[in-house]
Amino acid sequence: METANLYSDINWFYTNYEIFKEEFRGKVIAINNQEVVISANNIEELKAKAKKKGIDLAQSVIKFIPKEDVILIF
Amino acid sequence: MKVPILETEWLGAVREIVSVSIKGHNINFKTDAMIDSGSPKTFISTIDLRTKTRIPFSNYKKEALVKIGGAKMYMIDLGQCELTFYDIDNKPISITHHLFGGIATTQDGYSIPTIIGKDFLDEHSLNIIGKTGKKYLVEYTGD
Repeated sequence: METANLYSDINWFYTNYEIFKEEFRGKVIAINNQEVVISANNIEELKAKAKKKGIDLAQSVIKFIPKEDVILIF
Repeated sequence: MKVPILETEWLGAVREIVSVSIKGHNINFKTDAMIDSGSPKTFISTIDLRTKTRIPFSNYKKEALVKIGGAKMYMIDLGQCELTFYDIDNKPISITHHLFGGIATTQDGYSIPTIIGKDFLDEHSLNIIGKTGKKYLVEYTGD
């Protein structure tokens, strides 16, 4: 993945977080080229799906969407 | 060095985020890292460690149990790693730093992102400059 793509995928994730929050609650998602290419119930499932689809997770944006609305304070 | 920062509202606050490539033993991936000057340590998130690396966690000594954002995590010592950022001209800038891994004990901790902490900012004399919507990570070059 090109650096510009990574940056735009990161930007795309945060810009659209409110949409993802509703659609993927409690799931782990992988993003490539401004597309959610995998959604899974847990990390093991995500890795299995990535292997099957030939997606390199090391070059993708991977995020966990909490089940509930949370405010992260740190 | 002038690395663009993405400022974004996420999980209840405005966050400052940079894209970074990280290389080390069993580590070679790209991710986004949140700049958090309140964090004493720089560490890789659970999600990044578990999905993007082949690190055998059970072989690592648990350095400390910490609470971050209300979630319990234990830290593992990953040793020296190379972090590569990309400046405004897309030129790579590599910095070697001692990194930790944050292993969340429950799913609550999976939201905690990879963090660029105070140790990194201090050791490499890095500051955030700019105004809202146009911020950069830069090297301090004054006295």
